Amino acid sequence: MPEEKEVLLKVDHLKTYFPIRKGFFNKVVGHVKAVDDVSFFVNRCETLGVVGESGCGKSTMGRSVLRLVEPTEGSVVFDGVDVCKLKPEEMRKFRSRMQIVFQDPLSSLDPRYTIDRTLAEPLKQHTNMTDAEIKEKVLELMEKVGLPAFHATKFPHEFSGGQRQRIGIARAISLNPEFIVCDEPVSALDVSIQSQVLNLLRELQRELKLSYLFISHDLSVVKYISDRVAVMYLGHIVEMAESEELFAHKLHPYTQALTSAIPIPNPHLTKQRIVLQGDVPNPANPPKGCPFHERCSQCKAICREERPEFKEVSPGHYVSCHLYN
Amino acid sequence: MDEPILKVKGLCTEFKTVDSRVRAVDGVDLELYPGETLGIVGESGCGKSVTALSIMQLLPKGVGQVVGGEILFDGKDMLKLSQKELLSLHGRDMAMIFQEPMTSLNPVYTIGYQLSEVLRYHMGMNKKDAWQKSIDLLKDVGVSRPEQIVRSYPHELSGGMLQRVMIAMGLSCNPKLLIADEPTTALDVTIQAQILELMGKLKEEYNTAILMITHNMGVVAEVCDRVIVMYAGYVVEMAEVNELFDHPSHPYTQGLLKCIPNINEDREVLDTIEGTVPPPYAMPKGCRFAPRCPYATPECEASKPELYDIGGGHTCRCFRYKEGNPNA
Repeated sequence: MPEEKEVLLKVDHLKTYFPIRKGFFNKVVGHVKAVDDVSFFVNRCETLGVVGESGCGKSTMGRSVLRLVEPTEGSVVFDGVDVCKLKPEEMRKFRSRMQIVFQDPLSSLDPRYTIDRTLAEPLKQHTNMTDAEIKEKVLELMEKVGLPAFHATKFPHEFSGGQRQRIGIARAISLNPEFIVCDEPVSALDVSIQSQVLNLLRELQRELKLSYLFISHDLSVVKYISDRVAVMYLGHIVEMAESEELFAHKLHPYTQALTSAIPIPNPHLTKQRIVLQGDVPNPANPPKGCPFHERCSQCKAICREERPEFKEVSPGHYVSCHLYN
Repeated sequence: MDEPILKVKGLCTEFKTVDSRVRAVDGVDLELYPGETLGIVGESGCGKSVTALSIMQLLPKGVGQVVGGEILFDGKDMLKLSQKELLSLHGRDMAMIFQEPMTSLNPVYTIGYQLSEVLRYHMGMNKKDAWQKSIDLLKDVGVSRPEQIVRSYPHELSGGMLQRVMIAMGLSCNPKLLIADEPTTALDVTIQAQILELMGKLKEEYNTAILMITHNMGVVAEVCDRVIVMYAGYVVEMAEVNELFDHPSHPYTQGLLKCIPNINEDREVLDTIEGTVPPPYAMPKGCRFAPRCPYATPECEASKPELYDIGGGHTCRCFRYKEGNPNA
């Protein structure tokens, strides 16, 4: 048996709603329920993968955890501290422990800063290092992510997509964080570069004992990098389990459809594909009952009326579906 | 065997930059037969989209230019056609579907107007018939409530829905050739599955030749009959789809297939192709893949390999196959 795992991040009933305003007085006429009551945890040195289609709220969830978007309700407990209750100044200091890598590396780097300046910035803000120490640390960071030192005085536009993403990763690990939200870090990259960055993230995790919340729409990537996986749909987590368990026993009809929809690079494979009908419903006006019932092939009467509970059906395997109640 | 509907020989396309000319496509040959789906795969910047735009003669005027080779479509030399002749071809005999349906439709006209415009221009239909035909076309591509959708504007529809509209528009005049440039890249996987299924169904129905441009090997395996792999502006390998996945021959194709995480396999470490694609202004003199190739020899750095035939319609641009197949 592996040693007892320590929970690093625990999120309870997190909700992030965006108000819809209308009219002259900006009256709130409704809410887009981007993240609607999600609960999960991330263990130390573990990767929790989050998959879902566009608009399912996975990025908003990642940002809410870091309070880059203020959550509406719920609690985010990081290593015993409720992040949502921290005052702005405390939060600023606390951010050195939790970082983020963004999807588009070009727009998340300042185009007027050279790379060494970008990488030195967090060190200046959060530590008392001298200039010489900072310089040394920057070079060390660059080496860690596989960027030769002569790149230090270049600007972001001079790099390729993969290199830029390495810079984004170097910036995220510069303050020795314990937790990094990776928000689609490889989606903008070509496959040959994607595998380089994925391997780098894994190496760094082992070396620096990092925990990741890895957000992606690509199930194969998530499967490769994650220890546990959560599947999101319309602001809810519909299924969560250990990676192997999840892919071996897909319980939720949405997970089944999602995995069967992936084109497999093997022309001999003829597989039974579940093709979902229709589109994802509008999160401002979600269907009553189970959020997936309109597209579900196994929809029952109760699914239209009542929202299923997020329940543990076997050890560590959570699912929110009436079929398993 | 039938005559190929599209024949491209030695296509070279260049772009003007401030101080030089950049060759984006350097000597591409391909043949496409009626009812066949030919895939072009490669990473960004390998010239796959420029190849498609060259075939369509849609390169940006004054910037991009075909500087060599010939493009024969249905016996006509595309490079010699006048603007007027091109206009009558586009949308009728050859159609194109773009990556981003949101930016390819006109935001100020309704879906119905844009669909019937094609029909009225090419088929000489009157307004009423064209409108009715638009509704039928939308029904064909699996749009529910087509009577309502024809009245809506592009911003009111989702990406998957818009891509269906684009496909309906592309197929409206029953073209002989359909070029699909990354038709599912901007879409979610469940929607991608819907669109791929639809394209397969329509291909059988209309017997259209499809040139499918994609970077996704999974999509290739699913829909293509033959595949061309491009790297840095030229073709590195061409084969039947089963042959390509069973016996990838070029080191780049082999690397590309190995570095995709596969949902049906467990792997500790992903294989990678070290380094990056060379920029078009600094192409290596010899084989363009040599700087990243595990098998590179001095010969690869000195001279450019040809496309060697390794049997069964399988060709590969690598010196290892100069004297037949070393693995055979």
